[in-house]
Amino acid sequence: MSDVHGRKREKTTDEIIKARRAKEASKIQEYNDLVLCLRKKMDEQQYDQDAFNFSTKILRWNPDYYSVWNHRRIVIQDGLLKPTRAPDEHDVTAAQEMAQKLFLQELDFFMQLIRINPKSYWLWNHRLWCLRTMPKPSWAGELHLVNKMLTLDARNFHGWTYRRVVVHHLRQSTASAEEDDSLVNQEFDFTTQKINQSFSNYSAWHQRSKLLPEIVKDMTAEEKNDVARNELEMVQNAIYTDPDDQSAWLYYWWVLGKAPSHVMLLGVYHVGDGNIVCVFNDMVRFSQYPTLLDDLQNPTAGQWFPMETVVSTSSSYFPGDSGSVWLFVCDADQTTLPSTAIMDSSTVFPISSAMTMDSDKTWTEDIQPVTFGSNAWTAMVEQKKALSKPVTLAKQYKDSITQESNNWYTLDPVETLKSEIQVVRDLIDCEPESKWALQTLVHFLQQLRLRTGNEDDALDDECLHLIDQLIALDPYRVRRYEEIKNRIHIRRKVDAIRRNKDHASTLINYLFEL
Amino acid sequence: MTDQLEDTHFDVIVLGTGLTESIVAGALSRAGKKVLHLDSNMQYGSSWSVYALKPLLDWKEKVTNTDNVKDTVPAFTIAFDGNCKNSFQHVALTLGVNEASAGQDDGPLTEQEESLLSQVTEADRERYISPWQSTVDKDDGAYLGKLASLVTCLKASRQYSLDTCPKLLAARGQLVEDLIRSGVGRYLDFKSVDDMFVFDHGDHALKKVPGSKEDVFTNKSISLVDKRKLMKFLTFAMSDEKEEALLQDIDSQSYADYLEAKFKITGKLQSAVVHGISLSTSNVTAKEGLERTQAFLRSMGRFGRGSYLCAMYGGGSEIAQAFCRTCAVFGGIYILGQSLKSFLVDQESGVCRGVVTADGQEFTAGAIITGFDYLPSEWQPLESEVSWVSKAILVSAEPLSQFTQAGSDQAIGISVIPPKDDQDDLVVVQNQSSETSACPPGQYVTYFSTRSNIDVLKIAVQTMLSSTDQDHREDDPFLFHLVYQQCARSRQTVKDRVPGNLYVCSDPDASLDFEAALAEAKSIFTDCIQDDQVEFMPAPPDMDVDDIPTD
Repeated sequence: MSDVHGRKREKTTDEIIKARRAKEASKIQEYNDLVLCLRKKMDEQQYDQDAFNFSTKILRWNPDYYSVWNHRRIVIQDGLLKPTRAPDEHDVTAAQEMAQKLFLQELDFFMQLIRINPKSYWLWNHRLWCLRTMPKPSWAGELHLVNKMLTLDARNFHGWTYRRVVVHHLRQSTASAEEDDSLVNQEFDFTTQKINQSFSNYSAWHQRSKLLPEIVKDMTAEEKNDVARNELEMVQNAIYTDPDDQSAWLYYWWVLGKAPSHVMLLGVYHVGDGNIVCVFNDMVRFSQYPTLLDDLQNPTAGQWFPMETVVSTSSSYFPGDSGSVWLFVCDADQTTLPSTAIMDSSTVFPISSAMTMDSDKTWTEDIQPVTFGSNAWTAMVEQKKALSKPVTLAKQYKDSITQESNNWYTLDPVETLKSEIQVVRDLIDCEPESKWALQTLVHFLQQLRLRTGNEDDALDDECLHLIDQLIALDPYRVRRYEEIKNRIHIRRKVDAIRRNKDHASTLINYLFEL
Repeated sequence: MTDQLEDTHFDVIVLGTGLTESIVAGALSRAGKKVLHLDSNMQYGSSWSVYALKPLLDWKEKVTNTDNVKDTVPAFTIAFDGNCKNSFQHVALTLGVNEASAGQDDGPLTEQEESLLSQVTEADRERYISPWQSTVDKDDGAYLGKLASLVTCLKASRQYSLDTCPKLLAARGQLVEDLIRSGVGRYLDFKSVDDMFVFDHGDHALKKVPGSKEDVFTNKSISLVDKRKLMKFLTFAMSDEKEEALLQDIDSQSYADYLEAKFKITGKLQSAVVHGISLSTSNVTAKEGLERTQAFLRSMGRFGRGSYLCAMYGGGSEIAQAFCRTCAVFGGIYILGQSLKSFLVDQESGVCRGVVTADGQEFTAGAIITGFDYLPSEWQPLESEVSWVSKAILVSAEPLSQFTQAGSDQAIGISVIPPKDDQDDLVVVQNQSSETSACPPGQYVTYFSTRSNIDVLKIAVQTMLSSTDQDHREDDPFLFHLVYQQCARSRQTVKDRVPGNLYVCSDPDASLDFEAALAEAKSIFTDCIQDDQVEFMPAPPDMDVDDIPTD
């Protein structure tokens, strides 16, 4: 219904409402009966034409009834298309033709229903199943269809997801590398076109980020950097045109990439009574606990407990399975104390997405004695007691997401950051209250600190000031901003403590807020 | 069979089928009034006429005819032809040199001439070519090229719909609302005018007006900071609740000064807002400029990307005919080509009772609605009360390079040439193609219009014809252009001079859209009907689901 203007409003009297209800009641009855009939068929495993027809009728009324879609697929596969006897060669061709015809009808059925709800998961799912199951799928035809869908609604994320699948299939069947390249380029141009029409389209930017590394793969370094400059220019134009549109900002962050900010092991300490603590600079989980060896290289038996510290209380991430401080309690029957802690970086997982982990690093750390006030120890014991459930180990694996998002070009990251910081500063001059601009400036400044190793407090001070502005401007996200602020405070404090000789006790007391 | 109408008394007689007259006729008929609608021309449109090529040449002959019109005539005489002629001045047709079709073979002049002349009928040669030939020197190198242009146009005469009053509809203007609600829009077809340009005198080139977020984003010639300023301003102009501080001085300040003071918008950006978006000169008040800007922005993107719609087959005349059709559907009677002798005026009361046709029949009515061309000399405005609009119609066989170089891939566009001199007004340029049926496929029509004098207009035509290339500036070829001035008489000037039951409709004004004509039609309708309960052009009784486009 594109045009509902110029229509005379119908007067709704009680009688009309009554008549409408009566009409609806009979429809509801019919619908419920159909559902019962189909269920009976399914229970009795009668996957026949009748069962198929029931599902058609039900889905016409309600295309989002996913169980009925499941039934329909079973009926097609185990009923309509199941050979009745052992097939000979002729049967195979005939069966394939029949299957092809049936699936084409299914695709047509989709077209009728998608108009009712273009964002139905089950419909898109069914179409994909048909294409993947049918003997001769036309993926090129699908691209045409999805083009049309995205013309009607450029932000239909089902359309974009489906498009990625379609292009994936098309690329598998390309005859040459050139053909593949041209397909990728065509996809890239498509995102440009959609972004130009409206850059408030997260799906289009996302698609672009997936394509860029492929677009540039055969280019010279300078060409790659030209592409990168072009992306930066495009995103600058977007943020200056509409600083409130977050999809452009997120893409901006993606293009500039993430500076490595490695989790560090600050130390492993004896805290008395055969207990050991392992101190990191941020919260981590383990997929495998560190090994503690005594002087004779024998492993020590005991149990690990994550401790709540200033780091965890300022964070909103799963306390319970993670901590920046882990306490090891030796089993009672241990006679020797461990002297070395060994752990592999692949077994340690930072909780914060801001943190990264050195790959293939093995820490071998001497366990140092430390003396600190009994309060810290009391706090640890109490926390240990309070732990209600056993700690579960992480089951994560490193995935490609942790790869750097800016590794497809070679512009100098520090120079790039500096010039983009200026771009954002200029925008803030025009729009001093832009939340995204302020947040991005904080992010970029912190990135610059990481990339340059600049320990200058002035940079942190500016960030803290910006965050205070954000807290005042955007009360709905106060917790989020305060967390960023706390992370900066804690990092600075920990760095300051570590600069002193014999810092271990101060550090632990600080972490336990003592 | 007789030409005479049996019933000669009506509620309303409408003289002329211009847009305003036709809207009033349609609305009154729709409201149940008995309407007789007459036009002395054989075609619809009156001052809003659209012509095929030969009729355009005929019309040009008529209005440039030097025959004297009789001065002394009996009272209340309708001197229609003379009036029509006096509505136009400075009419001049210029043929372009069409080398493509002229120099196909290098044979002797007479042979080439013969081959061209053989392409048109004897009658057309007689009527359209001979009079022109008598004014030119055949030995002039341009003779054949010009002849070729004339022949090219004559051959396709019927494929032109050349609009003497080209205007556009604001997508969210009142006319669009009324056309939709009343169902009259069903008789019409429109094209969206997606792009707008402003001429940059410095670069001698058209620059795209960034009127929407998408335009601002993709425009390569605006700096980042300027993009921000512009978007900030556009967002402000769009909003209903505007900050008080930004509304100070809008009555006293010029729009240009206002944009600079409040939004730091200067230079080309300012020109895009003032001349393009608000179609104003720099000295328009900030208040009016803001209102126009808001209207433009609200219209943006409703249909297509732009703010305007262009009616197919010529705007005003087509819309007028759609209203006439509605008038007829509800019982209105139409006679075109009806010559009229005089108005019937009651000597004592001064009331106008009706009209007398050339053959002596009397039609009477309680109210008369008329265009200026039917007014007897005693009711016409004084010369000092008449303003003029300078216009040109330019036809070419190629799109003008100014448009193509500006990146206008659209066959329909609107451009503005800002005045070089503060005294002058801006020139509005509309480019169309066969997409609107203005001309045969492969040809292009460019319309020019300005409140300024005919010289400003002629310079504008020359400007659009010259390429953007600074070093090798060449003129684009064209088939012909017709420049003229049309008078824009206002109903206000004669309101107190004419009988109280006679409503005069203003000539088309210099504005880009039809809103003034519609507003005037509504006011005349209200005056005639004198009943608040009667709605202007309500939804038609027969409108049902079938009439609503489904996609």
